[in-house]
Amino acid sequence: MADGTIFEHEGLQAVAIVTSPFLKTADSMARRNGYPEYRYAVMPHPIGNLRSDQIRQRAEALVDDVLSILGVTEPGTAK
Amino acid sequence: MANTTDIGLEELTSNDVNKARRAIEYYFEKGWTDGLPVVPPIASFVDEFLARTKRSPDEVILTQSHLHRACTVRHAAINAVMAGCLPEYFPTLLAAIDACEKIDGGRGMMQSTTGQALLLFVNGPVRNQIELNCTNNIFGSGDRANATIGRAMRLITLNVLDIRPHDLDQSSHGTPAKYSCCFGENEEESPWQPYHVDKGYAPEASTVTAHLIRSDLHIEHRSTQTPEHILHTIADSLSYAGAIYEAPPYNTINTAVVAMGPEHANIIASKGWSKQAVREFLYENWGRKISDLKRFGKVIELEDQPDDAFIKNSESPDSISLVVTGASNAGVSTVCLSFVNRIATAQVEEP
Repeated sequence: MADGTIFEHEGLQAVAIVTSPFLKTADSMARRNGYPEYRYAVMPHPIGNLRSDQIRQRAEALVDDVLSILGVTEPGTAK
Repeated sequence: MANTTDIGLEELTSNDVNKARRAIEYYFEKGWTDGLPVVPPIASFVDEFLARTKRSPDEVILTQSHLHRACTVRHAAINAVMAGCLPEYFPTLLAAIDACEKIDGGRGMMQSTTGQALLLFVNGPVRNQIELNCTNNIFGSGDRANATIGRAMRLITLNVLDIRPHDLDQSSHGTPAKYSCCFGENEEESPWQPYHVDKGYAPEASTVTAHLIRSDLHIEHRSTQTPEHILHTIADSLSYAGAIYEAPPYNTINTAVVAMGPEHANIIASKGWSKQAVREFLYENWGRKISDLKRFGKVIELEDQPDDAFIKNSESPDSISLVVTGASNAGVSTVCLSFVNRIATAQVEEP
């Protein structure tokens, strides 16, 4: 989250992806860096023990959210 | 238990005590504690601490730039009061903070799910001047300087750096060492020169060394006169399965403080071993065979290695900081492990 907000500050588009136990920390970090409403994508936890095919599935499931946060699509419209 | 007459507080009224209690409860309500009562830091108390240093109260001495937080000398004094320090501890606390700043304030690692604590060990004459425990029960409680200097660092982390559990501190378990982990080297019973002299400081200088750790592990060996027996036991304790994160390159950044009991140190030194020889032996034997890593399922990127290949868990003998401490009453040592190379030493300023 720190990196995402720093990119944002530098004018670089970025999307932070946070796993579910870290939402409060993510909000705190974004708030401290000046982005209290910072949008980010949420992935189920855990991911550290996933095989590569499983992590790919997780990533694919977030494409819609990531494109929406980037402003490429309206929420729910990404293909 | 002394009554108020015994301790000269007969003039205290219950109203006074109730006010003090209300002040303590106020700090709980504000969340400005580690879960234990703090001493309310009224200005005159804080001034007693500031009088112990030549540094400006507004000097910034510790930062967490990614959190936009900075600790000044005054912040340190306030939290030293709250922790229960005596004013004469303040130069030692400032050196602890300086050492912490040298390791970038433990940036990021103080928020890690691994729950890193800050281990502090002290060398030089200041140990005796402030009655810092270097012998019995060094990882336990009961000695004011040890308990409160380490606690002051913890309160600074919470109250000044704003790294709190359930928020920016993401520790899964943490460690009791987070309450306080501060001890002195038992230089008087060590067969080797003190740690700070190893690092180039004069013997008459006093220093504080800071190291991030995620555990402290007790080690027994009371029945041998053979250095290799003790050292293999210590190396095996460094190498327990749970300490192995996954596989290289992660393991090459492991570090440890080996807090060696004087009994172990003197057995080892009596056979002619130097501190460097000890560190080299531990480096060579800190690790596991591939067959073990396979059993643990921690063999990522090493699958092609033969079962009897030995995978070292640290980068060099310098990954191991060796300090002699504790009581000379049993064959006991402790290893304190970390998976980051964050250790630094700073000198205690003269009064």
